[in-house]
Amino acid sequence: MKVPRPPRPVAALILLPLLLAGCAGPKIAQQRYVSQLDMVFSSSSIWSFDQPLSLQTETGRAFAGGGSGAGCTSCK
Amino acid sequence: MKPHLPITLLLVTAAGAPVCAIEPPAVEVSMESQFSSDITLTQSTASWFDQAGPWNWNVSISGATTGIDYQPVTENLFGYATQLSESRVAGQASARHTLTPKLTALAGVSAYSGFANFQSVWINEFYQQWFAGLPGLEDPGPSGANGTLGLRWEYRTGTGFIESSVTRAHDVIAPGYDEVIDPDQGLVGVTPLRDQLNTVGWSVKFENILTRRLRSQFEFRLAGQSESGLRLSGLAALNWAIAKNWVARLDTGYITESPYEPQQTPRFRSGWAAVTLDRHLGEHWWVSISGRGYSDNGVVQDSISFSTSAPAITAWQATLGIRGVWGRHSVKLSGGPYFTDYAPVDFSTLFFANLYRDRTYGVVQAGYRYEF
Repeated sequence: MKVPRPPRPVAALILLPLLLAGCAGPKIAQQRYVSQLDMVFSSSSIWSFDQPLSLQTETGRAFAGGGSGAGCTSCK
Repeated sequence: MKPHLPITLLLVTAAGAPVCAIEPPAVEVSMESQFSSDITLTQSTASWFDQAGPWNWNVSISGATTGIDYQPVTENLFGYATQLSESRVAGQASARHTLTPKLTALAGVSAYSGFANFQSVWINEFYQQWFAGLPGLEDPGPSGANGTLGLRWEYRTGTGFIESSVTRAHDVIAPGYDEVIDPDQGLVGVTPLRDQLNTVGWSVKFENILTRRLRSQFEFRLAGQSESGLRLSGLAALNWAIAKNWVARLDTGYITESPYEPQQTPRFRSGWAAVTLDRHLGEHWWVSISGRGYSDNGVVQDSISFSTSAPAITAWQATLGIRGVWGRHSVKLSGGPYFTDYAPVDFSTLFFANLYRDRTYGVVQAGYRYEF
């Protein structure tokens, strides 16, 4: 199995949080806006903005699979 | 044939077993439907969130249906139109245990029985018709299970979190088939191809409150699956309180997957982005409007007869949503159009031209939540 070299968009997404994680955030008393219901990353379906059924078509959004090995019958 | 999306991994991706913020004790029901002129998908879920001492857990069960007006291409001389109806049941449980004030252990399991997606149903019907009556043809029973273990570390009080987890999944799938050719008698039977998939994955996620108005989430994933190359994913989400009662949410991601056999297929790539604008109206209501785009370069196969691989696709979705909260009760209703635009099929995927044709779907989501 060949390990791919991360392209620039992926590399940027890896490096960016490392940079941001070093920044000091606001104190608890200053978190009124970021604590609003629509500002939180929630596992509740009420406050989820995702579209789960579209994952059946958009295979690239899956955790794994659906990519280059999929679906060949009688391959060379 | 490999399924396009094992549902155990869909659960990890969509339901996010142990990856989101702790929810207060509550029960929740939700449903989603995606429908076009020939394909109707539904999914309904009931969830229970609760906690006791250092433990916090979530259990959910879901039922899904797939309805297809199956229509073979005219070149398929053995095919006939028929109505397909399949169902799937799934269960998921996740738990957190607070080890120290800063460190939380995470665990999750899920299992399902039924076809993972409508493409698998369609492709299986093609095989059942194409090879009907031949020795070796199987009646499939797709199913799967997965487990996840992880840790969450609050490295900066209230504003900085790192979460990492490993996932192991096993799926039993509807197989593809190889033809058994006798030099004298021609096609005398079929041999099922791989009917099980194993997946191992690792992810690390950063969640930060950057300023008084910005909350971010960045995730990096690495996953390997049977007969697939290694998949790298980078995901980013940014929630921005633009002004009083206005929130903008940005979600984006990019994945790349190395080919399983480098000499045969190019690297699979996909990217997506979504923007949501949410407005808090008065005390109880929130109204949102979203736009989303997705694109991948398809799955190119070097096949000597035919391939089930999906061509490149671009998809667009617009959603209008409304949410309401009254004390312990919350409701949600959203919907909008969803457009899929496939690249033309080639000679090897000609038999699946009706599966991989452009469609316009309607999507509706509804949910209710009661907090104890």
